[in-house]
Amino acid sequence: MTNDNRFPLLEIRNLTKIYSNIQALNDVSLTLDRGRIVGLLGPNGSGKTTLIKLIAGLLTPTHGDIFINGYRPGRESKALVSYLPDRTYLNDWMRVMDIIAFFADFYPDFSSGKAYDMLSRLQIDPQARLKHLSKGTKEKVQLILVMSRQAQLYLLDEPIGGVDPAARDYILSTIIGNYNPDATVIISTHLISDVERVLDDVVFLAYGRVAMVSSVDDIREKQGKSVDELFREVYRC
Amino acid sequence: MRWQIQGDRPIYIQLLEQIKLGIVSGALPAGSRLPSVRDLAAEAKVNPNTMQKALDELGREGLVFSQRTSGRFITEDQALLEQLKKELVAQHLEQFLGQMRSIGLTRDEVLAIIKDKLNEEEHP
Amino acid sequence: MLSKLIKYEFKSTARIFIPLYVVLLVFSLVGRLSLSKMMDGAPINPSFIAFYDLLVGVVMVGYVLVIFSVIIIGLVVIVQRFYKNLTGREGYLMHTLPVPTHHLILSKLLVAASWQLVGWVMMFLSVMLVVYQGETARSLQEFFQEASNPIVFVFRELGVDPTGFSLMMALSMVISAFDGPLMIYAAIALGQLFKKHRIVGAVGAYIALAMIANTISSALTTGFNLTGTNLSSSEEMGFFLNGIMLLSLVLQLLMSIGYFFLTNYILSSHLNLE
Repeated sequence: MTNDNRFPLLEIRNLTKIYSNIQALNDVSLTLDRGRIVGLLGPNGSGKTTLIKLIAGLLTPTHGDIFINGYRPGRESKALVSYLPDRTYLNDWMRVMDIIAFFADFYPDFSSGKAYDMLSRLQIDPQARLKHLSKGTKEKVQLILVMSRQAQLYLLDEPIGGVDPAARDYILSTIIGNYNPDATVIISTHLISDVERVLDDVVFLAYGRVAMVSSVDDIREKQGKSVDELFREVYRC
Repeated sequence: MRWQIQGDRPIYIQLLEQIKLGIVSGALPAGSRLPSVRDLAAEAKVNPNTMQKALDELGREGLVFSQRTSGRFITEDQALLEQLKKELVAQHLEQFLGQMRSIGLTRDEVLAIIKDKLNEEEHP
Repeated sequence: MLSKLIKYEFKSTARIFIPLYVVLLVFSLVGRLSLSKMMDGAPINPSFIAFYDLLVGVVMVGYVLVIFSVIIIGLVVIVQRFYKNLTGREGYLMHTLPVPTHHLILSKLLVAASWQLVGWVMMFLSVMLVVYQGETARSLQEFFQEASNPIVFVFRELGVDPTGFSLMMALSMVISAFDGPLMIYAAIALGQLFKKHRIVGAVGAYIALAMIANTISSALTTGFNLTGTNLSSSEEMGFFLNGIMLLSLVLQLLMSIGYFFLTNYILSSHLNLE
């Protein structure tokens, strides 16, 4: 994989997204470097999923620009981005092994060995048909697919929302074990206390705007609070 | 080693303290090789950059030294280890005394309860 | 990557189309057997005649239903594959693959058009299987000649070369196999431009596209009509019919290309997956 360091890994300039009169994102600018694990935090409706979908190229911006390693969302950027959506996209009629073959076919950076390894760790039968899997298991399969790639930018939309605590631990360990100084991971979640120790930086979104960008230890050092506490304070209802 | 991250203090400081405790207690013996940053981070379930920061700090304090190819090792400098031990003891003592004082115990009372406790542990 | 997309598109459609065509063939065979029994002239026990008539009737109705199902299911699959796979939740997977959007559309189109053509050939074979009874001692060639004689006669009367016209018909079939799915794709893509009620939008867009296509083609026909041809002579009539056929072919081709670019433009520059 060529690694072009002339550009920041992710650069977002004045990004605005309006859906049928609702302003989901409002003039967001953000630059992320390589080798970071970043938490994208905010209450429901603050624009987390919208931002991730825009980066993944599933939405078209109303205004503003997105660059992933210098590329606008498109074929080149999609080769660099590994995206875990907040819903399942699996074809029901496929077997787990079929979808692994599919990923191996389309992504040169996908490792089937790694995927089968993780499947056996999580005790998922590769022969199982996707329609017979529970929602939580489907989510695990999707996470395995996403983490078995050697991508530059991982976009994980609520990766631990629907799974049990044991699997949650395994997922977080996988993210840490997969750490690569050239790659950045964006994790959107509202379960802050679970992921806080895994994060380098946090981006707080509120009402479609970036409310704060900081490193986790800076928040703890300067504010004397955990990110979770700060979050509860900032977004108190 | 058991890792515990909690509360509101910076994570790298908590890691630093726990590695130091590991060195003093012998869980990380002098001269032994430390696991890689990634493995340590995975074990402690923390961000690898944060673990790196803690290890860098340990390196600055001389408690850990790097050998270019074979990784990081715990120092064998006995004087330094002795000093670390003293520091930790002083730290905990200070904390303990502070708490006792805030409860309202006098100097003699503190001495007395320590003696009692130790006797109790020796002859249960 | 296009070939891989085609491979997966083929796999996911084959599991519907192949059983569908097998059912069609089985029904054709049953139809053929029951018809041939009726026509072989062998004496039937009179007490069974009523039952036998009923049986043939049921088989024939079933056969016609199967033919209709093949057409309708074929269309439904074309719509579903595009709608679900590219604009539904499966789109989350397809639109994050490192492939250009036009490859996604092309893979769907090539596979859909192929199944349409295979379907038409299968239906033709099926009708042949039912209708052509070899034991009546006609060769297949004779059979075709007999069947096409009236058509050839009409063409001759109208001054149209039957071979050329059949070729144009065949070409038109092939273009239709692409034009049909493309119009559906364009309608679904247009439906995506709506903020809500995207299915209703797609249906509306389909009706609008059909009306536009109709208007253009009738405008062109009228225009062609006004060139002052005298339709009373068979020579000019032939020229007119050939011209109309050619014109509609070109029109169909241009519309198809238009649908393709429209679909690609919307899905690549105005994608907004829900």
